[in-house]
Amino acid sequence: MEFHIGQHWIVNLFGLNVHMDTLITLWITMAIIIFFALLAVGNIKLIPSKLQAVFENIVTIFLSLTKDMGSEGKKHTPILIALFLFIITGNLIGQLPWKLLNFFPFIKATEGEFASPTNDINVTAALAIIVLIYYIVSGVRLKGIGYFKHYFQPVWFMTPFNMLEDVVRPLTLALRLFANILAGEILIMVLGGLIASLISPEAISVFCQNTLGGILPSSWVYNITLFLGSLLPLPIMFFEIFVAFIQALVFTLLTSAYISGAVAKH
Amino acid sequence: MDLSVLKFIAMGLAIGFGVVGPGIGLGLATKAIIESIARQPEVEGQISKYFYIGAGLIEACAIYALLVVILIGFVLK
Repeated sequence: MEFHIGQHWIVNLFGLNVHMDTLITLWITMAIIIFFALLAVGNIKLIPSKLQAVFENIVTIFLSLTKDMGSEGKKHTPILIALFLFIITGNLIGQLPWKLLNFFPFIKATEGEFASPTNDINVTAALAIIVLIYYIVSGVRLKGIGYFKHYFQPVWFMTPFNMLEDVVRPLTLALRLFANILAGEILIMVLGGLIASLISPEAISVFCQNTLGGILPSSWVYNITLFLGSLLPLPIMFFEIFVAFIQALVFTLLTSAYISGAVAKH
Repeated sequence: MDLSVLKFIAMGLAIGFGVVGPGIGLGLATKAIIESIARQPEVEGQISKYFYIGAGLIEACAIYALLVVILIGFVLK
């Protein structure tokens, strides 16, 4: 059984090495979000349609998250909603049957697989750096240069640790999301190929002759076993849908905690 | 010993020791939420969301160990 972990379909665009599979799924994610958002707000009514009600609920939930950010807290809602919608859509489209694209010869699926855009560390690192820049900038805009006083906050020799915090926060944000999604993909891949790698037509024909006494055709038993084996990753796939939601929520909640820590009055 | 054999030993040890801490943590978190729901069954809806978020954070620690295993096994030469 061959593993392709962390391999991508690299295309050279304008002198840059681009992960084409990640780029395509990223654009699909963006297209889904923009399409549904436009569909929801294109025809705003006082009595909302179903889609508009869903979006209004999302906005209400994230408005309640920003309550503890002071009177100016409301303006941090858009980035939280954008991060949440982007991450959850990106996580969920990894569960679509992208393997069917292997039938097209021009897509070099052997060099990398189409999956969630968030299973590429570059995407999650970019999101984490956006969060880092956003909370520092929002702190500086509120408090001016006094924002950097918190580095010396309890006593002066805590400064290196306080500065380390700004490195550790985006690092863990990026790694947590990336590794959770990648681990799910690996688990599905391993379980999906497990039965196929364990059995062979010869072993099945020996089994049919000796144990079953030749009452069933061996190719029939082989195909049934392969089919049942391909059902093995199903529970993990359902769990991955749950993980996709939880990780998007964790990323967003940690972002809101960092922002409210940066804009809090001391 | 051959280097690839050592690599497999390192992968096994890394994931084996790596999941001990998150396992204990998840056990403590589950114990706490079951105790509090048994004491006050009406708060289940309010506190279970915090449990899921905390479980996601704890689980990430085990997944860091998995990340190290992947690094040892497939990325570092």
